[in-house]
Amino acid sequence: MTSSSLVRWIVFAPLAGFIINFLFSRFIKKYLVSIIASLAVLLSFVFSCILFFRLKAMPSDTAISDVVFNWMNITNLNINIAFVFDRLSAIMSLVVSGVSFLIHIYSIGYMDDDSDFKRFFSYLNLFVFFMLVLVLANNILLLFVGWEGVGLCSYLLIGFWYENINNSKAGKKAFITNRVGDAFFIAGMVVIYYILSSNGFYNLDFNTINSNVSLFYNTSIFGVSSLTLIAILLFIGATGKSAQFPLYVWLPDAMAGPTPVSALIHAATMVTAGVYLVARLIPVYSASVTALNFILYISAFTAIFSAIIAITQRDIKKILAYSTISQLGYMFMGVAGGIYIGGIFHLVTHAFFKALMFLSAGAVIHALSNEQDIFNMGSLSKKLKNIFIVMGVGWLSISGFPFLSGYFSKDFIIENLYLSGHKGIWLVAVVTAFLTAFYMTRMFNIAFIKESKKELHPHRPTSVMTIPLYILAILAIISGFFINGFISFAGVNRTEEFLPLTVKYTPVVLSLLGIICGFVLTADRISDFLSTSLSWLHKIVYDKFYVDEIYDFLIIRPLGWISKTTFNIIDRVIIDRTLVEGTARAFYQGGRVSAISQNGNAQIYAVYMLFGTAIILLVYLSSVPLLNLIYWIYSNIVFAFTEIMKYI
Amino acid sequence: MKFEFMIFSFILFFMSMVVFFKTTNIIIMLMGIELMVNALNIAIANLVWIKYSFFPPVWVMIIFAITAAEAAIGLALIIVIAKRMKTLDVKKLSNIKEIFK
Repeated sequence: MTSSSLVRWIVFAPLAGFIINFLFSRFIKKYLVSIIASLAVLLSFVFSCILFFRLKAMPSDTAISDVVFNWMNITNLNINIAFVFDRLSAIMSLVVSGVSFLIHIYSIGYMDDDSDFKRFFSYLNLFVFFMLVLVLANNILLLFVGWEGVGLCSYLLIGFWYENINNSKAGKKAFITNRVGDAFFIAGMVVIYYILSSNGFYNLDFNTINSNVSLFYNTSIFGVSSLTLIAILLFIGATGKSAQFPLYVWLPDAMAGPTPVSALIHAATMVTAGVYLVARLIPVYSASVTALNFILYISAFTAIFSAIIAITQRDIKKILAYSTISQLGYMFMGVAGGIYIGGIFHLVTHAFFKALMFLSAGAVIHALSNEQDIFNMGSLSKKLKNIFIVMGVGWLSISGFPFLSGYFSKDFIIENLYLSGHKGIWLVAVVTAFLTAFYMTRMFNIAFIKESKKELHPHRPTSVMTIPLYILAILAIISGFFINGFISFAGVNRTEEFLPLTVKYTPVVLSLLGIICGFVLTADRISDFLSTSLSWLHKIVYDKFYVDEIYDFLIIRPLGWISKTTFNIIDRVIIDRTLVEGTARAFYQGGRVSAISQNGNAQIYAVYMLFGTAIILLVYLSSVPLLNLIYWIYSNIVFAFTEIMKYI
Repeated sequence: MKFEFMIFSFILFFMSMVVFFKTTNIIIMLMGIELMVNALNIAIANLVWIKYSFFPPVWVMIIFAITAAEAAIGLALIIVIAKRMKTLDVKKLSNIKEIFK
């Protein structure tokens, strides 16, 4: 098969899996559903690999593109369903399909005793389909299709256990928060289309957008350079999907879903869509210094803010969720500061180690029968030795322990931030690295190493759950060493620049310091002392700086009040009572009145008929001008009279 | 078109209409209707005097057929009503809609 027509099968394989599993799950045995789903994703991973090696042999600026069909061709808008497999989407599709495959395998074990096993796998396949549409889309409109699709799947999977009202509420929150971002995304697309179409470009291909940056640069809308406007609008769209500061609130709540979902959607793949979007449009972004600074400030603030919140959380999945938000902040910093590929590399390594940590946490939760509070865990290092080891790999990796993947990717970002001259942002990134190491060590220490207060009887995870963990652990260890190959594959020229030794080693030293602090401060006596002496601070941080409450007060309640008022006035009174019920009542009363005339007497009916005929005659005659009518009657009478007179 | 026939038709029509409205006997009402149609028929048959018109006899025949059919249905209904209600007075038949429900 030629390269170009192979691209579509990366996307369509999971779709086929979804269609089979969704429509015919009734007739397929339970494990066959999971095998079909996993095979579908494996197939797209294999296709991605094949295309990856073909692409590697080509020059770095070529791309394999695949036009499936013409989606819409109307005046001034010509959009194809087309996929492009270039260096960036090659990386993304490999990561997405690979990590998805491992998580599919893991889910077979994790969801084994769930009654909705089949539905779970069909949703997962649908998600992988939309995610691959997102990363392989050739134009921004098709990307948006995938963007919305993954949002839908996220919603479906967060609320997967819908019997619990809190889960469906969390799903709803995620969906609505994402809608806010999507509105900005659409606004950005509209601006892009407005400027491109007024210059004679009627498709929204990324190529067209990226090669016409000067058009955006030279026009302005509402006094703002349209380049900056587009970049910022699309970035706000990305903050929704990638959980950045104003719109991050849905991600911690999204942990209500099954843990494989948290690992796949809310750590490894979907939340990185925003980073991918910025990287995809990097020519647009790098032309606008304002937008880049905007991204840097927002993401740096998000990174440190969520890292601080993560310090005090008790729920193991919440800690990982806040850590994800923080790491996404790193990715945005990496994309916006200096060399964008650093952010993408961190995306890849993060996908490995965060998926690993989530899946290990899931294995622990599964083993302890849905226990998520880290203070109820402990001494798992003896009882769940294999989970302890893989979780340890993830912990060291995210903490930036030397020569693990997180160390390379995070260091690269931090160094480039320093080199690009954003000293303040660099400082925030370094402090966040320290905090990351600290809270991760705290979690690891409390949940795994320290003696448990309660007697725990974990049951061992099956090998179908542990093997994906081992693979991810190996990836988390070794993927960092491929940084140079990765950067050269992405076609970016990296120039080695001299860094002061203090700057070069600060992140590592601070990370190690964070790990030590994590062990020291969680020791029993010190932690007791700290929690009593700083209880007010602890409470503020534990309650997440009351951001949810502020949103509730500022947005949700006024909105609820407005909705309720308009509902009561417009819906209830005007539409329901007056228009809908009013019409019905009017006809009812009219029927009652006219029913009086229908009394069953046949002769009365005949009289009605007579009157009806008379009225019709009258109406007909009234259309004739009055003088003519009088003349007509007069002449008839005269004629009749003369005729009668003849016979008399 | 002979005017005297027209006058005759009018007179017959109005006479039968008066019969239809004044009587309470259902058979006589049916007769009134038949007579009205016949008066109409006379008026139509009268049109045969118009030059080159050969349709009026056809109409007349059609109306005859319709009248015959209508009379058959009407008489059948009257027989049913008479059997069930033991009366032919229209005023006493005003609750007919409830009885034949």
